[in-house]
Amino acid sequence: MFRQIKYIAILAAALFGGCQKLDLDPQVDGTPVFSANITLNGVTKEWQAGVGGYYLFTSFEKGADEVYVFKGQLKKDSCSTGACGESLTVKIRDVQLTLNGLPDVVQALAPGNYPYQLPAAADTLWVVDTITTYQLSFDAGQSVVPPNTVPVYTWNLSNGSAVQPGQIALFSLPQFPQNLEMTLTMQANNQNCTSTQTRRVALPDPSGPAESCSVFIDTMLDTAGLLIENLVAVPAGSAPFSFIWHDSTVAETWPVSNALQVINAMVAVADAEGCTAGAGYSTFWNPGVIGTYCSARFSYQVTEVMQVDSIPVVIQDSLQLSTMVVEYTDAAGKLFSSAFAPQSNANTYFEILSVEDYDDNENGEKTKKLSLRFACRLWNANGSFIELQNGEAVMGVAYP
Amino acid sequence: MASQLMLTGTSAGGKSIIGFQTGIVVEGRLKNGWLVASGLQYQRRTGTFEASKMTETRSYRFGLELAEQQLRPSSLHYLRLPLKLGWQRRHHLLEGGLSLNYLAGVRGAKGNLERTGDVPPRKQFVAAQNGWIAEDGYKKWHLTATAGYRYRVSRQLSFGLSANYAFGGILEKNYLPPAGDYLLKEDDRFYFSAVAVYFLKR
Repeated sequence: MFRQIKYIAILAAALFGGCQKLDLDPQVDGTPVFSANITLNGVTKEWQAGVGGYYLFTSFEKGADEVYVFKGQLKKDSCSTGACGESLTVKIRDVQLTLNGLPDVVQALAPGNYPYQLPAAADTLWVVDTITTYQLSFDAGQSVVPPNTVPVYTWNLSNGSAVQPGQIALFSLPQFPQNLEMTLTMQANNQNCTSTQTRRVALPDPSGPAESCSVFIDTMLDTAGLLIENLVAVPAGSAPFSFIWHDSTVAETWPVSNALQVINAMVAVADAEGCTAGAGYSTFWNPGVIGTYCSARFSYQVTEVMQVDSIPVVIQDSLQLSTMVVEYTDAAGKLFSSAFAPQSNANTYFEILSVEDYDDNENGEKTKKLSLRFACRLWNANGSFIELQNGEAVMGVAYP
Repeated sequence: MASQLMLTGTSAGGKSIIGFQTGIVVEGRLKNGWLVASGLQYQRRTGTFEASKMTETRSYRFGLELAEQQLRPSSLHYLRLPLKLGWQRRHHLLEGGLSLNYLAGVRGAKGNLERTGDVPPRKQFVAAQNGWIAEDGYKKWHLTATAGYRYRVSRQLSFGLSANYAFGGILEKNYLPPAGDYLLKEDDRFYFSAVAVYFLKR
């Protein structure tokens, strides 16, 4: 009977006081907290924690070097091998060694710019670099040498390089200067004959001639063919040519009758392209005697040599404190890391824009929420790389 | 009068006792053993309830966190207005009629589905508040037909058994259960009641 009275009382309460019925709260959806937006080789990629199965895993670890590493990883919550999708990881090394106690995360995660971690925490690192040098080879094989003579060749490059002897000369230049000229001097001492040839040395131009213009001095004998009557400038290049001799004679030929006992002539030539060259000829000359003829002539070749070299770089801070690592794993599971090679690109940066406390993670560890911007080159284990640009992220890391 | 409500054949896992009702009956005697009866009754329906209403709130922290809030009834409370016609001979009484049922309220809990630590993980309803809850899913009014037999033990006391049929059932038509396959497992239209009537005054 009392039970019935109780339920009648409940019923009465429902009828007269039951206006306050429990109902569900209005549905209000939130927005993702953590996200990352990057451009990889020109392709924009975006992930949000909580969208598409992605989750921000926060953690920390202390390595054998007693340096804490704070880590945040955006990847799929649960996945089987080979179907985990893309992931992005940020690792931040502590600002100091922490042998005992806890790290100072306020200092370690302070806003500011940070360098990227180098490949290995060693004292010396071998950095692969590329060097371009210019190999110049000159050959005087085209020269005309008097009979029974061993000529003496002298190569003089206008950039101040050491003078070289020999029929063939080789030079190596780290840079290629403009208006570089080579002067070959050939001396046939026992014949008292000296000849020079000066040419500009230019880089190979696929659309132009293989070599620059040149000129050498030849002799023109009299009608009897016994005596040198004139010297003739023989040019090569783009016609028409202009000539000027050492005595300001403007002509292709220079009359030997101008000389007294010694021929000491020089000629300069300019072609239609503005290329200039020169030649010289010096010998004893006695009227009525055929003079000795010699002519210095050379060809040249310029080769660009790209040399891949390894340069030792001494790492001052082998612990690499306060350095960053950015890692990207593609959909096929291939890992790319900023720490597989040094960042040589000038557009590389990593900046912590802001830091704030956040909720404990799923393991009960404290976390910080970081606002980041970054750009770097990411390498895979095979040495190929991808460019990460315009990276912006709100990531979290855990700390003890 | 007081009745115990029962099911004879129940769905798998369903209960056979599904509530009770009590109230006041007024009988009027007619000629040749005929009588009419009416009154006001209170009925409490129980059974195996699933959520009657659910919302899923999407919030984000390290990932997506779905907060599933539910209303889960525990009992239904009806006011009944019966109108019966009966025929009595000696100790035996046959009666039948209709009852208009008004859903006065639904008792239950408002709570959340929370993940347990079991392996594999599962979700469990955890009540946050108990009380009268919104009546979504259940009809406010329904009509029941009743036919029964009573045996008069004495002039004042009688016992009997009635068969009841709820026209259209007690659930709102086209209301889909927000969670699980049902709102109330024991939502059978046909049920029995064991009746005891005690006349205070004849």
